[in-house]
Amino acid sequence: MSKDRKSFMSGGLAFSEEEDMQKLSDLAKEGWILDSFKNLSYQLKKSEPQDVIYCYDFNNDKEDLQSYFEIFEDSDWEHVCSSDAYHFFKAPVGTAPIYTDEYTRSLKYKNLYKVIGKSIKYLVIMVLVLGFLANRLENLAPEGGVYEGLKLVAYLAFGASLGLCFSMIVCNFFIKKKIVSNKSSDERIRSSKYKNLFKIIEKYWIISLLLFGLIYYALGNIETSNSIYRGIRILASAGSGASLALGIATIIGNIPAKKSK
Amino acid sequence: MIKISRINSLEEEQLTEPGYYILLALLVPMHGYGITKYIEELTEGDLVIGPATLYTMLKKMQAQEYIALAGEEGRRKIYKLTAKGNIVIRKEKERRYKMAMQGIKAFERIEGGEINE
Repeated sequence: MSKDRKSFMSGGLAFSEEEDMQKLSDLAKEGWILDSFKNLSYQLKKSEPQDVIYCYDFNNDKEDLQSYFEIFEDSDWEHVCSSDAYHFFKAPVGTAPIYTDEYTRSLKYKNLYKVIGKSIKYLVIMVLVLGFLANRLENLAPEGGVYEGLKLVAYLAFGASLGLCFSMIVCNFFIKKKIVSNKSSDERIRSSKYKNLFKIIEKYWIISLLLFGLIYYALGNIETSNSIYRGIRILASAGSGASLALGIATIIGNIPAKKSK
Repeated sequence: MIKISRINSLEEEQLTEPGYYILLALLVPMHGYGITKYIEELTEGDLVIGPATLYTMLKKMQAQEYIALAGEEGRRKIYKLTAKGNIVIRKEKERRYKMAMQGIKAFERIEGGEINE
């Protein structure tokens, strides 16, 4: 890499939008100016130091990009670069943000959420198909290097799509948190009733996990073929599984909330 | 069926603050930059509309058929109110006027009509 260029990985636009933008702004003060965004990393170019702030927008309306950029051209925000439907802008420090109300800002994340949700759907199909394929190949089991290679490819593709699918689900979980619902206040009060219930479950997931786990463990020691016992055991294992999942979701969900405090 | 109910909810949705001011600005057809400038002037700088908010609202209100393209001036697109948008903004102005009046009336119960502590 030459001396007047460097790059840094994005923390993931869903997870660390604010951090990324702050870092770009800090680097611009040192003369490292954002040039492009490629393969999830920011490409910077050495130049005169600038006192600017950065932001990104998501706009997948490809038909009308001209009027999109036209509106930005008339504002203090200067278009820097785009990567697919992600557009990066910079402006002098103190400029009002590109979204000045909660409603339209939410629409950006709603849009992003929808697009990622769509790719998750395709990925799930891919995971299932590849998993099935790998499983078939495993069971066929003729000898030969070509066959072994094919099997390896199927497994690799399966693993990759599974990983990608999982990370996108996590990604969308974070985006969902940025969507401010435009429900009426009545509806909000109604839904807060359920939110409180959820909060209680959130709080006691460890206790319920221990409780279910204990029941499962205790029942496991009784040797019996009684179907009621087995039914309770299955319920207990399902319960502990559910509370564990809830616990993980709670932990992941609370990271950004704690950070922002 | 689903589509119809979605359109209805789109129409019944109350205008957001930027939506209200954008429609007010478009009582006179103008381009995006003109809208931003006019709103800043009208509200004496109290309401600033960011470019992404403006773009999103223009798109949305075109889909709702409150506004439409009226042509181009150089490279800039000119927007205008539709007949429907005209009714919506008149109603909304009346509604907000009524609300402000009701506020004033409520304050009149206190001596002098001013905020007394």
